[in-house]
Order: sequence, then C-alpha cells, then structure tokens
Amino acid sequence: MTTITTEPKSAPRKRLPRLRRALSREALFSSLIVLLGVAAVTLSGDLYWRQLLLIACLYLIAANGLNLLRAQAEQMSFGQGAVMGVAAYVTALATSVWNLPGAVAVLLGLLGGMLAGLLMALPALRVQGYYLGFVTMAAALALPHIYFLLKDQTKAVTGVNVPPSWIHDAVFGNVTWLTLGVVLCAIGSIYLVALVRSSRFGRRLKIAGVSPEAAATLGLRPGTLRLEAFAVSSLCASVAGVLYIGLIQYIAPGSFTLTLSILLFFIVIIGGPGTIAGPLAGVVLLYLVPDGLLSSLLDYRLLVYGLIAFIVMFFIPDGIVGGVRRLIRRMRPHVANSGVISLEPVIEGMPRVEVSASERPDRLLRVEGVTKSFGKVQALSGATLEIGTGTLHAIVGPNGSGKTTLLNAISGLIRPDSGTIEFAGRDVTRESATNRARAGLARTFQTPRVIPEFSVWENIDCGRTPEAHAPIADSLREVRAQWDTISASTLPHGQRRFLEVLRVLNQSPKLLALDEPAAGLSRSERQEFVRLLRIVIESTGATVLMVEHDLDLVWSAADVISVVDGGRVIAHGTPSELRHSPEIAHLFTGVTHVEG
Amino acid sequence: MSRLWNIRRVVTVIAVTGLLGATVGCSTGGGAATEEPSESGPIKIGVPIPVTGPVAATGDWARMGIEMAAEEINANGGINGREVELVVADTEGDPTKANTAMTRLVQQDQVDLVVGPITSDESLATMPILTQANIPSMNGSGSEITAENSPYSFAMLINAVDQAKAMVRFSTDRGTDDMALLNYTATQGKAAVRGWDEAFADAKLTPAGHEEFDAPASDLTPQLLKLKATDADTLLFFAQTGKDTGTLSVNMDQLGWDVPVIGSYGTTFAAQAIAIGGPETYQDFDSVFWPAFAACTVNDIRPEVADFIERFYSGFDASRTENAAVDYVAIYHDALIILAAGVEATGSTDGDVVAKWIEENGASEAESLPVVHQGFAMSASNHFLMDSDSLVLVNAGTEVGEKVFQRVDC
Amino acid sequence: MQELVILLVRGIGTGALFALVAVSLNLIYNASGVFNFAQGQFLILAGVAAFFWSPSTIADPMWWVVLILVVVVIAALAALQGALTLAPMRSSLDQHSWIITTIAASIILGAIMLLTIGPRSITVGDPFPTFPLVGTKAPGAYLALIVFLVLVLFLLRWYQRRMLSGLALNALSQDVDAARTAGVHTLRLQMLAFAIAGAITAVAGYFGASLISISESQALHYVIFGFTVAVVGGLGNNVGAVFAGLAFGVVLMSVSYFFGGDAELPATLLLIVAVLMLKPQGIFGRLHARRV
Repeated sequence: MTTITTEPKSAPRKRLPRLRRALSREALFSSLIVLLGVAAVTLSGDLYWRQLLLIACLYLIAANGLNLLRAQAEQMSFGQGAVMGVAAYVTALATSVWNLPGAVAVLLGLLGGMLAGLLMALPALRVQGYYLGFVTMAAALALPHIYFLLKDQTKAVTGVNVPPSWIHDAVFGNVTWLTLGVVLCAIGSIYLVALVRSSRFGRRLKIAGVSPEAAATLGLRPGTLRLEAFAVSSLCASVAGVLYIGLIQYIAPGSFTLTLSILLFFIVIIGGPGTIAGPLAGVVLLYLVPDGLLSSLLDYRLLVYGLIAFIVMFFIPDGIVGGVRRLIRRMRPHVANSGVISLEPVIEGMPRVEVSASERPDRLLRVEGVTKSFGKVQALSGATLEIGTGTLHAIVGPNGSGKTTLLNAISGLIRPDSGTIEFAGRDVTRESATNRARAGLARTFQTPRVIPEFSVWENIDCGRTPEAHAPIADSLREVRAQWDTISASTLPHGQRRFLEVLRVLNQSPKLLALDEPAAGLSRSERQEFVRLLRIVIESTGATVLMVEHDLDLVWSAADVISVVDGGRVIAHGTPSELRHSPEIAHLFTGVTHVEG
Repeated sequence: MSRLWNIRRVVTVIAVTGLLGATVGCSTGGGAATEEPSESGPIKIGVPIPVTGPVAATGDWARMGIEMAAEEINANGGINGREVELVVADTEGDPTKANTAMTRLVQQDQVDLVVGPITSDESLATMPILTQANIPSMNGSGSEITAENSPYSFAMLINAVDQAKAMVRFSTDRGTDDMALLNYTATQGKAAVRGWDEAFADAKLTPAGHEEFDAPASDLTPQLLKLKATDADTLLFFAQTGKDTGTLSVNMDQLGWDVPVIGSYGTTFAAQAIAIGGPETYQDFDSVFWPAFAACTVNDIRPEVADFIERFYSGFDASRTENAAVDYVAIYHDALIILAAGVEATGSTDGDVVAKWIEENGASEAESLPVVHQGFAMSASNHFLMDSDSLVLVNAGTEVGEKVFQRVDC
Repeated sequence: MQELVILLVRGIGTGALFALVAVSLNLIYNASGVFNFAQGQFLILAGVAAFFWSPSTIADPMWWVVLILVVVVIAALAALQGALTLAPMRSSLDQHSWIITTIAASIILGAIMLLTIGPRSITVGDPFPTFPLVGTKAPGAYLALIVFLVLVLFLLRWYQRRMLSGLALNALSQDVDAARTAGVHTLRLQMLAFAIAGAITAVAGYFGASLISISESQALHYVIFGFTVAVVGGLGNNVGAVFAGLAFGVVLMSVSYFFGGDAELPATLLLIVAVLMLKPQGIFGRLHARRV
C-alpha cells in the first residue's frame, strides 16, 4: 500500500517513525491472523468462506481508517460506509460504463471516494461532536437517494455489473490476484494505524481532537489536522470500496446503506477504539460470527448480533481489546515505572548559556487597552500591560478579575473587542492563536491538557517538530527512553503541570504563559519548578508570564508583578515596590504575612 | 458498585439464556460441510430470501410458496425419484448480503437449483455466481432480467416496464388519454417510468403530469396537489406496498380529487391498503393483475386456484397467512414446479440444459403442470415467466372468491 | 395559495411527530447525556399495539384503555432499557458506550418483535375524524399530534419548574456531578427521564400509527429524523426541537411539491447541513462559554 506516505509535511526527513514496541507486536499479531485466516480458507478451497473472509478484510480496512478518525483524531463519523460506496460506485461505472482501463478505474474510484470523504469532512471545520456525527450520517442516509436522482449517470435502476477480469485469475494454487491484493491492503491498513499511532502526526491528531485550544497554542492547525485525518480514513474506505467491486462485481444504490456505516462504527467501538487489534476483533465478532458461523440461525441472527454488541459494551465499555489489555495488566503485576517524573535531570541537562542582555529587545509583549465582554459581563475593560524580555512576570488578582481572560487574549484564544497586542515587535491582535504560537508565544492551561493514553514522552512530543538544537532538546533526549515507559495516566496532578510546561518548552518559545502553574504542586515541587523556570530564562532568554494564586511563590520568584482587578491592571512593579502599596493591600489579606 | 453488579448479573443470565435458546432453536441446517455434488440423494434447492430486514414480510410469502411446491414434489415421488430439500439463506434485502448468501448456497451447500432472491438488486448482484456455477434458477425480479444478463435464470414477477405499458394501454382503451403519473423512486418504480415513456411515445401522447415519491410515503399530498392542478382524467399509480396505496386513496379523498386510478400490481395488496384507506379505497381504482387470480364470477375460478388458496390457508399458521398476497405465494410455487419439470424432463441440473428446456418447452408444458398461474410466455428472448398480454385489470377491493379479485372487463 | 396552506398545515402535522421524538430524545439527553437510539423502536411498538388491540375509532372507550396500557408498558420498558444503558457508563472508562448499547437495544427489540409477530407488514387506519382545511380535509392524526406536542411542551415546562423531581431533573441537565454530590439519586431520576420519554414516544406512535410505517426495520429511520431535528434545534433545547421539527415537516412537504418527490430527502438534508454550517450549535443552541 502506498498509504504510508502520510507522514507530516513538516518532517525534516522523509523517514518513517519507528513503531512502538507494543503496537508493533499487536500489528504483527493482527496481520498474522489475517494472513493465516485467509490462507487457511484458500487452501481448504471453500469458496464461500473465502468470500466471507475477503469481505471481512474490506470491512477491516475501512474500520481501520475509521479507528484512526474516531480514536486518534476524536472525530465522529457515521459516513464511512458512504465513502466506501462512492469509491465502489465510481470504480464500477468507470470499468463497465465508461469502459476505462482497470488502473484508471481504480484511480478514479480512489479519487471519488477521497473527494466524498473530504466533502463530508469540510463541515468538521465548523461543527464537532454529535453535530458532526449527524452531518456525516445525513450524507450516508441521502446517498442512495442521490444515486437515484442521477439515475442516468449512475445506472441506478439496473445497477452496474462488472465483468470478471484478470484479477480473478490465480497467481499460484487457488490464490487469485484479488485475494492477494485484499490481504495486502488489509495488512497495510493495520500497519498504517500502528504507524500513525506511533508518529508525531498521530499525536498531533490526538491533541487537536482532545483539545483544539491546546493544539493551537502549540502552533498546530486543528482544522487542517482534522481534514488530514478525514483524508487518511477516507483513503482506507476508498481502498475498501474499490476492492469491493473486485469481490462482488455488482453495485446498486441499495448496496451501501447507513447500516454499513453503523456496522463499521460498531466494529471500531466494540473491538476497542484506539487499539490496533480492535477492528479485527470487531470484524470477527460482528461480521464473521453472525453472518458466517451463525448464518443458519436465520431469524435469530439479528438477535444474536444485537446481543453480542450489547453484552460486550455492557461488560467492557472500552471494547474487547481494551478489556483484554486490562486483564493482562491485572494478571501481570506491573513492573513499569510508577508515575513520577522528576525535573531534576532536565534541569541538570540544560546548558547554562547566559544570553547577553544586549542581544534582546527589552520589551517582548505589549498589551494596550484590551477590552472583552461576554454578553453582559465585561471581563476586560482596557487592560494594559508590558512585559520585558527575560523576566519572570506574574499576574495576580482576585477570582473573576479577568486574569485568565487576559491570558487568553494574549495567546489568541479569544479575540479582544478593542485594543492592541504586540508581540516581539509585531502587532498580533488579528493573528490566530496558531500563528502567535509559531511566533514563539506558548502557554499552558489551568487544567493540564494531558492525554492519558499517551506515555509521558509522547505527551511532551506532540507539537510541531522541535528544533534539533533547542536548549531543552539534549536534556529531554536523556530522559526520553525512561519517560516513554511511564503512562501519563499514572502521573499525579501536579506532575501533569510539569509535563505540560515541558511540552511547550520543547517548542522553544520566546514567551511562556502559564495559567496557575503551581496549583496542586507540593512544596518541594514548587521549588523545583521555580528553579526550572529560572534556568529556562537564563539559558534560552525566554520570558515567563504566569497567572498565579500562590502569593508566596509570586513574591519570592517573580521579577515583576501586575495586579489585575475589574478587568484592568491596577498596579505594576517589583515585589518590593508593591509590598507596601496601599491600593492593593485590601485585595490580598494574605500579602501582609509574606516574609522577606 | 454492588447494585451495578446485580444488574449485570441479571443481564448475563438473560443474555446467556437468549443465546442458548437461539442456538438450540435453530440448530437445523448448520455446519454443512463441503460435499461433492452428487447424482443421487436429495436435490438441493437454494432459497435466498430476506428473512430479516425491510422486505422480510414479502420474503416470507415467497418462502411459503416454495415450501408448498417442495412438499407437493416430494409427495409425488420427488424429481426423477430424488427428494427435494430446501436450504434457506437470509439476504436481508441487501445486495452485498445476498451475494454472500448465494455464495454460501452454491459453494457450501452445493445446491442444484435456486429460487430467489426476491428483488431485482439482489438478483442482479448474485446472477454472476449462478451463471458461473451453471445453476438454473428463478428470481423474483420485476425488471431488468434478460436472456443475456441471466442466461440460466427467469424472472417471476411481471416486468415493471410491461406493467407500465399495460397501464397506459388500459387507460387509452377506456378513452382516457390525459394521464397523470405517480411512481415510487426505487428500482421498479424507475423502470416503470421507462415503460411509460415508451408507451407514451408509441401512442403519440404526453402525460398530463408526472410526480414521484419515496416509499414508504406518509403523505402524498404534495405530489397530488401538483397532479390535481393538471387536467388529467386518470391517474396511473405505480406503487410497491399496500400502505402507499392506502395513503394515496386517503389523500385523494381528502383533497377531493376523484379521477379514476389505474394501479400497478403492487396496489393489489388490498388488506394493508384497506386498513389505512378504509372500505372506499378501491372505489374507482383498478389494478394490473395476474389472470389466474382474477375472475368475473365465482364459477370462473379455476379449480387449481381455489385448491391452492385452500391449501395455503390450511397449511400455514394464521399469523403467516394473514394479509399475505396468495397470488404472490403462488408464483413462487409455480417457479419451483417449472424448474423441477425442467430437471425431470432433461434429467440434468445444469443451468444451460434446464434453461434451454424452459425456453423451448416451459410455456407450452406449463399447461399440463400442476401450476396455479396462467399465461406463461418465457422464450429464448423473454426471460420473464409472464407475458404482459396476459395481464388483466381487476378491482382489488372486490373479491369474487377469497383472494380472487373481480375482473373489470366482464 | 390554497396549496401552500395545505402544505403548511400537513407539514406541521408531519413535523409534530418528529418534534415529539426529538423532545423525548432531548429529555433523556439532558438527564444523562445519552441519545437513546432505541427510542424509534418504542414508536414502532406503539404502532404494533395499535394494530393488534386498538379499536378503529377513538369513540370507542377501549381505544383509550389501550392507550393507557401502551403508555405504561412502554414507559416501563424504556426505564429498564435506560438502566441497562447507563449501568456501564458508571465506570469511568468510556463515556461513549451508549451509542452502541442504545443502537444494540434497538436491534434486539426489533429482533424480538420480528420473532414474536413475524415479518409481516402492518398498517393501521387513522382513528381520528378528519378536520376541514381550506376546502379539503386533513387527517385527524395530524391535529392530534400537534395538540399533544403543545401539551407535552407545557406539561414539561410546568413539571420542570413546579415539581420536585422535575426540578431535580432540571438540575441534572445543568451539572450531573454537582447534582450527584448534592445527594440527588441520579440513576433513579435518569430512569424517570427514560420513562417519560418512552411515554411521549408511545403516545406519538399510537396517535400517528396511520402515518408511520410500522416495521422494526424503519425504527432507526425515525430516530435519526428525530435526532436530526434535535440537532438542528440545538441539543437539549425543547423549544428548538419543536421549531426545527415543524420546520422539518414543512420543508419535506415543500421540497416534494416544488422539486419533486425524489429530491425530498437529499434536498432537505442538504438544507439542514447548510443551517448547521451557519449555526454550528443548532438554531436555538447555546454557544457554551469555553472553559479554558
């Protein structure tokens, strides 16, 4: 299959990422099952079971694509059956009606399917979740009717018969070219999932799906990533559709109904979304068992199908493979690292290169008279702020004073009603969050956007491709192997903050905007954290802006403090300047207790 | 947590019981191993029909007809002394599933003859398998079957194109030339449009109006409002279900549009139509129909028809026979009888041999066979069992005898 | 002009059925975040009950007795199905199992129907007398559905503002976790929501039995149309569901009239997708303030 060239464009070298070990094992295992299964029925000469298994392979290919879309990119689609249908239809028409050569027909089929898939994906730029699920479902529902509307072009009334061709000839024994092609594509699609899952591209898809804001502040374009995800999954569905014509040799509007889209969705979810072997398990349980093994049940087949789906979901909501994995984990006492990461090695590894003051402009960020209202609530009313390069700047203020809104306006997640924001000497007021991030503006969130299915390392390396000589790169390389074995889901809350900070540091930002970074950290972790920030500032010349509640930390660590209240910056200065400032004393009763 | 587990336990017990019940309840016919086709032992007849899915009800009618024929054949000593054995496979009304079902029948069950599937989509999707395996068959398609695309297969239903032409003919015979057309939008409905086009071109007429609807329709008012606005003096209505027929009648009455209607074969499913449209449904509403189940008086009903109807009602459970169109059951019965006759006459179950016999002798031999229908006209150029010339116009709301409709031309 | 009035009124009648399904879907969605895809099967079940047991006219008191029985039985069935659907969701693993369990429940209910009554086609006449409409007549079922829809809307509003369990249900729709910590019996309330939704669907199916096609294979079709209406109206918003439902019915009729019956479904769905592109949260959907 040629599908594995979907490596991100931005990758410096066209080299495929190494498969993660567990995934590689699972992919090999799944491929062997497919191979052995088809080989066994081919050898036995049972043409019925061969047909059944090959159709199962088609469903597997389409389901693998849907698995990427659903579990990796977190997009709802009930339309994969329709994409498959379009590809099949175009192939059939090209062969039998337009009388084009086979290779051209296949190419047109793939193109047609991809086009249909992308048409369906366009709404994903606007709508998400159930709404997107509906839009794709509408496409699947309307498609048979559209074939009939275009009945002169689609031959909807008669359907299209495709005559047998050389693909049905034997390569050796009773293995036909078609059998070979289907098996190769099925195995290819399994490895495609493993590859995407192991790649930075896959991790980007995930973060863009889970948290578009976080993706944007890493400089990624969530919309583009969604389209790419739809493209990959449509390619899978299209391959399945083209092969369908080879297998069934007939298509009519009734061949691809919503039922197929629903079956594919069932296969992914019941098999275990996000796993490599999941769709395979799903196909076996939901297609081969009811339609093959139990086909003589006739009237009871539907009941069995429903019961299988219901029971699996009832007992193992994360699907068969997810359940099996949990079972294995429970039986094998976990020897992997417990979920603690230490910043110490990273801090130690950072180069201490003092960036001379003359090399940097003294002002990195300027916020001028920014206002923002949500309905009747005036969140920002003319906030003005200046942040010098290489400083640790803290924003404090009571709850609801507009601190986070200010941070969102700076990082571009909300568009201010008025006012200007200047970053690194450039007016970025109209720029998207993505573009600001690419200009060097990074941020973290109050609730860390950590992906629990990923290892700690994968969570760090899910943004743009980091610069090879970034200051943090060397020290991260040191811990990579170890951190790749720690599941992020085992990390305590405070440590997830470290992780998020490291993720943005990996992007070599000029400004690091942190939203309440110390919340949930222990005393020693705070000290470790402040040290890290200091070293980052020293070695990279980056600037740190943090919104923080912990005044002890702010007073001891920050170079400059801005006090926000009522959507405006009401005071500004070094800790010592502000300590005795009367206008803010009433805002912070705790401040008076600060020592030093 | 404990409550959760209780629910789960209950579900398990129910589920396991259900699954066991399902497995035990239908342990027939499972696990058929691959066997060599044999010249002795029973003749296996594949019956690919929708047991589930949207057209399952019609599938069950077909199944009953085939079962009746098989029983008759076996009671009379089988085909050349060999018993016939039915192997049913579920097509779900879906071309892909029909394809695998047919593959199973042909490859795994090694059937000798096939009766089914019941729709044109499924028939066309499975035809290459039958042709390649050289198996003679009868399919329930109502359109698009030709001697070229189906060399060893014959279609049982009245060709939709022929029906449509007959509808126009019946209307012009009555002197009503301003016809409004209304058809449903799936395969047969669209084929009917082609028939109408040809018939209107031949008669040098143009339709007063033409509308379509997606079946099943819950309200045909938009289409009828359009057609009512034309100066049509007759409505030609091509439908597939009794529900659509009933809905049409109700909507026409409500809109106060009372032109006569000529309906397709599908409008004769009277029980369903009358349940919706009430007793007035078939007032001024005639339908294209098979001659065998149409009569002027009770004395005109042929004994084989009366006998078949009686055997049908006494042979099956009331829940299966209720609302069934017995004429439709009968055509599946006849299909198997004719196939069996072909096998018996030629001593072969090869598709080319049997098909050739049916093409050459089927129509004439049918008169002496225990078939129910009349007017068989298959030939080397026509792979539809029935001829459109034999069609008659009936009033499906008036029964001369049980399930035999009143002919209009008496 | 007369034609347009007819299309409008009949469109609203058709739409009322979809609006009722959408309102019942919303009710469950608000209480539990679940779209009950099995809901369509309850609609069909009510139709089946009407076919077997109900007299042909509402003048017969038995008709009302059967109605009550149908509503009670289906509400109980819906509550049971709700409990089964929600049980696996209480584990923290995956919150999307309901998509499968509800569709699977629909398949199972359909299969049981198929096994018990056989695959026969069932049709039921309209038990309501027709009503006059600009010189023509229109089916009484339309009027009955419209009246019932209005009634449901007001009763639900009253219930959710005045009754304790209604208030609690309302609280659930705001924040399930907060309601749970406040000591609300969430599961019991969610089952109640399933039951009420089941009852609404049952009445809709019983009233509209002459309009729907009573076949288990059509169940998903109706629930998808109900889902469509709920999505366009804005998930969880009943006023939106009613507005979108009625509009949906009118659009279906108008497309058939102006563009032909074969364009009905594709054109209507295209229009809906276009609406969603302009209003990604549905017509009456609230744009939730993003919690960053």
